[in-house]
Amino acid sequence: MLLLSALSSLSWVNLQAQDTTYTIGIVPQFEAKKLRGIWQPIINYLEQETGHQFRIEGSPSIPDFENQFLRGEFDFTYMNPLHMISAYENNSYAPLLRDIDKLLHGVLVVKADSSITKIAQLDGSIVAFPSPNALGASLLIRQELEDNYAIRIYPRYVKTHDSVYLNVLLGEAAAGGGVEKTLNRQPAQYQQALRIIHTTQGVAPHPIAAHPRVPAEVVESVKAALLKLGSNAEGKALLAKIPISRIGPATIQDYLPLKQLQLDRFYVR
Amino acid sequence: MGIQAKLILPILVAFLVFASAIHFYWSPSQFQNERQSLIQQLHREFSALDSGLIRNLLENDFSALYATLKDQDEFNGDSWLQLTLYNAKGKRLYPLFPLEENVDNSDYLIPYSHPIMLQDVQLGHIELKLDWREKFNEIQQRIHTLGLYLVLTISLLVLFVISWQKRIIISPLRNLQKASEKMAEGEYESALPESAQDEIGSLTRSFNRMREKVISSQEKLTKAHRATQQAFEQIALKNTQLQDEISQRQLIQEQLNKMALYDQLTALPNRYMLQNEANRILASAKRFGHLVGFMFVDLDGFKAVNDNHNHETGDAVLIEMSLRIAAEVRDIDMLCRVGGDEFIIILPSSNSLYNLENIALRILSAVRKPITSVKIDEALSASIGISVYPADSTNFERLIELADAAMYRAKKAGKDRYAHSTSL
Repeated sequence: MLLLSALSSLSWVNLQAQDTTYTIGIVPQFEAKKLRGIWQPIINYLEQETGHQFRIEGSPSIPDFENQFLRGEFDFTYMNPLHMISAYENNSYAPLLRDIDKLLHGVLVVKADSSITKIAQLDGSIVAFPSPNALGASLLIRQELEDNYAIRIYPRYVKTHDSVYLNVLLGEAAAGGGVEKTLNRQPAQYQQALRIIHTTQGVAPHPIAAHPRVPAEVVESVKAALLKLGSNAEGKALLAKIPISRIGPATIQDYLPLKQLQLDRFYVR
Repeated sequence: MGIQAKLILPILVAFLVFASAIHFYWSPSQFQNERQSLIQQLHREFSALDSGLIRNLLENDFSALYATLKDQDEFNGDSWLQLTLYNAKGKRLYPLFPLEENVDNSDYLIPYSHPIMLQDVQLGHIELKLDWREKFNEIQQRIHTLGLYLVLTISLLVLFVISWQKRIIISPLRNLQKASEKMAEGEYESALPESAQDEIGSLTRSFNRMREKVISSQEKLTKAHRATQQAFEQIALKNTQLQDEISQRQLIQEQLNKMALYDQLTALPNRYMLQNEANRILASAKRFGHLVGFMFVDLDGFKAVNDNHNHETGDAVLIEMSLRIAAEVRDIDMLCRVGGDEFIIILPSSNSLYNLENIALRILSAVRKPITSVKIDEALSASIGISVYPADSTNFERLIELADAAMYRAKKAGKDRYAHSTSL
């Protein structure tokens, strides 16, 4: 009888474990369709590999996403470093994996044929940023401009990274803030017409994190699966779309030093 | 210009007018309408984009702007050329690096400009060139087809009208003309068919009536002519008859005249003729100053012949004697029989008495010869009395008297001799 109940409870636990569909919240850097295109294959692989169910949880905007993870609605997440700090401090989300090859830098670009070579020359100028809260393209740059250089700039928030570069190329802004990733995605003609005048310090890139309520063995299986994925060429290609060029383990120590920058100052809620 | 050409002319003029209308009005308006419609369409398309573009411009979200414009550009492909966005200041915002697009034929390009307005403020404007050559060629094709149909229709119409005109106008007119000419030359053959109810039909009917009138008047003329001819013949006949009559009468008259002036038996002038001529002869003698001899010739022994023989014998003797006497006188002399056996001879232009005497002697000699025309036993001779103008007298009667008296003397003296009037 006990054995039965034990077995049944075990199976129930197992069932429960089997029945649970784990939600994954992805920061809406791109529109939902594109996100799904990147992440669904990986999800499928995870399900196959781990035997667990996973579901992508969509967020209409970044503020919504922030609210959702602050409410702990996601079992797993993929978020930017600042979110990680906030999620860790509020809900004890723990980073699992990240791109260990690349660091996130912000880059400040000007028109290649412009006379500006030093940040000091940007005093009093309009500088384009995608959005106020973009970590690399906006916050890191604005923090350095404020703290490290005694200049006053007029930020103009032009929605997207692509827009930033166009603004600079069209002469609507003296300079623009972006990241290497997006800069390198621009057409060659555009890239040739832009020049980086400053690169910020590097920051650990977006981690994949897990909510503490997720069972440890599930977490471990996911971690293992993803690391395994990153070990073959096919898997690497899938992960590169996120983009993660080389997947590896992440810890909260990778992100906590960011707090010192006091990027809240530039954060717009 | 033949009547056919004249009748075709309105059709050709109409065609020209129609073709001109098409060329100068309808055809351009077709193109214009299409242009308008295309521009309206562009306007609608861009108006739909307006709100997005306005937001993008206000937010300086050029990537969204570019995405929208690129999308539109690609969607419209070859028909949109040089799609360009300018800001309010006229600075080109899109595209960054314009492509070299071949802008060849401007006939096919409609320039379009769309201002991007936020209430009354212009934020910028879009320009593009719309390549509408497909539609353009379509319209062109349509116009050409229409033109072709028009030409075809007009040609068929002209052909139809020509053949129809020939039937209802030209042929009847030609027939009328031929019939008229034939009638002018006198052939009245057959009447023309008068089936048509129109003006040509009426003309034909009138022509036929005229023809009948002409025929009937021709017949009348012919009759009249014949009658006239007959009348002429009659007249001619009558004329001939009259002429004959006249001739006859003339002859009769002559005869009468002759009878009056000539001796019936001998055909010699008679007494009356003598009297008529006498004055003339004397006047002429007076004028020219020559003698005129008067001889009174009496036949001796004639009475016995007359008594002894019948009339015919007597006549024959007289005739022979007169012939003999006539033979002895000249042409200019006038021998007249004035009685049964009495003759007077007037001899004008006598030179002298001597000549007169010679003539008298010859006459005597001639008369003496025996009669040959009839058988008689009696021997005849003549007694001649001679008087001379103007010597014996200037009066005709007197001269005759004197000649007569002289003749008596000759007779008394023994007959068969002559004697002068004056006792020479």
